[in-house]
Amino acid sequence: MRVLGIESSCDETASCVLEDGKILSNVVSSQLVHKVFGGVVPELASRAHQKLVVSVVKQAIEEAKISKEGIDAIAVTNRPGLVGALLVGVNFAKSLAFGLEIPVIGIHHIEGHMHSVFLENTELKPPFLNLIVSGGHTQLVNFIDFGNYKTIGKTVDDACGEAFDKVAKMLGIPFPGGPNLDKIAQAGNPEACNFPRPMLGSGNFDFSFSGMKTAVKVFLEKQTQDEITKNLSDIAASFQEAVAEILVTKTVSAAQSLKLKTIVVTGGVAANSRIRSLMAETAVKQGFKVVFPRPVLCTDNAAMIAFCGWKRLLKGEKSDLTLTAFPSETI
Amino acid sequence: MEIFFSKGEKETFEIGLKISKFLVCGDVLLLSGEIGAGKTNLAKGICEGLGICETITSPTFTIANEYKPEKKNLQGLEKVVHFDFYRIEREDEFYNLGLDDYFCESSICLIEWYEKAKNFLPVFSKKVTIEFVGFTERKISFSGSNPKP
Repeated sequence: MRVLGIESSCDETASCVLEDGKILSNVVSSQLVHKVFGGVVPELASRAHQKLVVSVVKQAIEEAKISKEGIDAIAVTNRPGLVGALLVGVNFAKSLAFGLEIPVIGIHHIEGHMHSVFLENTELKPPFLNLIVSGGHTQLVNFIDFGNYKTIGKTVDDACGEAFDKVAKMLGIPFPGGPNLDKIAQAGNPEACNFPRPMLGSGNFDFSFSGMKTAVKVFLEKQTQDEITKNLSDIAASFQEAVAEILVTKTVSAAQSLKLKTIVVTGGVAANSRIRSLMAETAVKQGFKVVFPRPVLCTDNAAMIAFCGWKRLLKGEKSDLTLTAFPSETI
Repeated sequence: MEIFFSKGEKETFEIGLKISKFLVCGDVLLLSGEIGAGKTNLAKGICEGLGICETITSPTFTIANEYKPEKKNLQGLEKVVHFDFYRIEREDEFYNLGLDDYFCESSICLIEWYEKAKNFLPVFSKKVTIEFVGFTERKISFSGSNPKP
């Protein structure tokens, strides 16, 4: 079965073609904006999705070396996100499905992230513990089986990726803050500054990153600009170490308490090198198997949406053409 | 103008509960304050006061989070929308995102970093300003109409 995937829930317009769960093409708009907008990257705009969606889908079909008549079904992100942005993808998906007389299915963005791991790890089977960390989400989900999930912890305030971006901005680290902070931190001493580890002893699996952002701000206010510049890599490394330690400790203890043997980390922040290495060191030492998708599949993409759609379509599920977008919904 | 002082997260939350009593359906409440001042935490208190039972999380990445009140604390209130314009770079993005569609008679909108889209906001807005007093204390000022009788 060939499934066309469409994703427009946040900044990226994305499309792909999967054949029986294997990637034939996987296109994100940041690769195409030069062609469409002449070099200016417009962020955060439903109208940008409007301008891009046809080119992105067309590119995905071309790269897959098929014609649009070769598509058997369409999977589209329809929740959660800004309704204006989501509707661009949903309406385009419905129109194309109507024209081609094929089924369409609406997919939850986070359920998509949870499936990104299967794109390259075909032997992996549930159950496993999934840590989803991105700019907008931080949650621990027990992936019991396809379609059967239990959220066991989540952030009570800021997402982990937001803490990275905001701290990077305070430190004067240029966009994209998270990945650049990661690079700078590699030369630093992670024990140089003692930042707090909020919620580490909370007795549950929830996270809180808002207080860390404030702790870094208070720390920086007590330093001169020269001291900050001189110790930039130490500050970045110490902050990153604190975040990694919170994520790894909570995740490992959740896996222990649920008696799960495999830990999967997905979402954009799963690309962070220290989170990867600390998770691998700690969890592997304790006998867990740890799986990270490649960074390109960790960030927002359509392949994860199409994979999740394919799994649901195989079970006989589909949406009807009244499919619409929802701003917020838990898995 | 109402002025409150907070010594920590819990107090800021409780001040949020108090501020919720000053709000009516259709209100747009602007939240002003630096990073780490406690805007999202204040919003948690306000939302709980308005009958929202879900966990209020930061809208920085999503730009807008919508919540439906489970408790009928305010007659006619259908949703509370919590915005953060932190990631908005140019004012026209506000229009491109269709954000003005959210302002209506049956909703209350809370807006962090409203300064980024000043020209697109309704003329009649209520406002909360959070200022640092030292490292731990905050001065929280609310301006708008009087509390309901």
